[in-house]
Amino acid sequence: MADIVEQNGYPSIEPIEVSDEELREEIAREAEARLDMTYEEFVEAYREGTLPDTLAVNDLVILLRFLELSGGIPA
Amino acid sequence: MRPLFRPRTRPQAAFISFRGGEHFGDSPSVELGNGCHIQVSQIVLPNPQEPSGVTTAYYSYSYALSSNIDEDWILRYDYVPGKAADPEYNYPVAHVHFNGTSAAYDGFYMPGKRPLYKLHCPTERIAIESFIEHLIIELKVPTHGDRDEALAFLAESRREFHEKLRTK
Repeated sequence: MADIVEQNGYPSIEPIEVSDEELREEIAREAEARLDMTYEEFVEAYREGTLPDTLAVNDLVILLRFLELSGGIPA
Repeated sequence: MRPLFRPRTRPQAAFISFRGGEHFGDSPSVELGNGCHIQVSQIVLPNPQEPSGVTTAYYSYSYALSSNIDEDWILRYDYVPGKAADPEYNYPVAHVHFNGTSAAYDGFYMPGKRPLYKLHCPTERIAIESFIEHLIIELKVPTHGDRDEALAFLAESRREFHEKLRTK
């Protein structure tokens, strides 16, 4: 959880630093809980373009792209 | 607002998301004072043209009329600039999806017609301030403080956003 602190009178969020592996674990946990898919199934469906167009999928795809952008290889 | 992830391997990048729970998947949306739910996520990266600034690599802003956001979402604004280089992606990188119904659309014939909610209706890049302003004005979302002051704050913040875009 990110800690909320005051900075110059405004709430400021302390970021959570995560490794690629921790991000993959987060995506795997969410894919299992919200889509009933394994991490590997989720990544494969993402690459094949067969994921359903739902907000839950959209939510997790953003995290997957973040993993890609941060240099982590999705699968 | 949580979580805000920053990768150890690339500490300048960040994933920012408004969530209703302490952990990523506990409650993917936030309930507002009028009962509607929003889901907001952004990825920001260092701006190569402005070393002290950041650039948005992705955003998704959506709202739903109940906690069942997968069924009851109404609008979803997406920005996917990375898709511009994808030859298989034929849609505007900044767009909005509308999860509504239209008898006229349903009755209209065209080959390969997609469901209405899958259409990528083009927009400009939407500032988060415009999304929040829309919620306050159109959906009557109550503000914590004075409504007019909140709208003025958003307008000023948005003006600064557009000013920065113009000067790039």
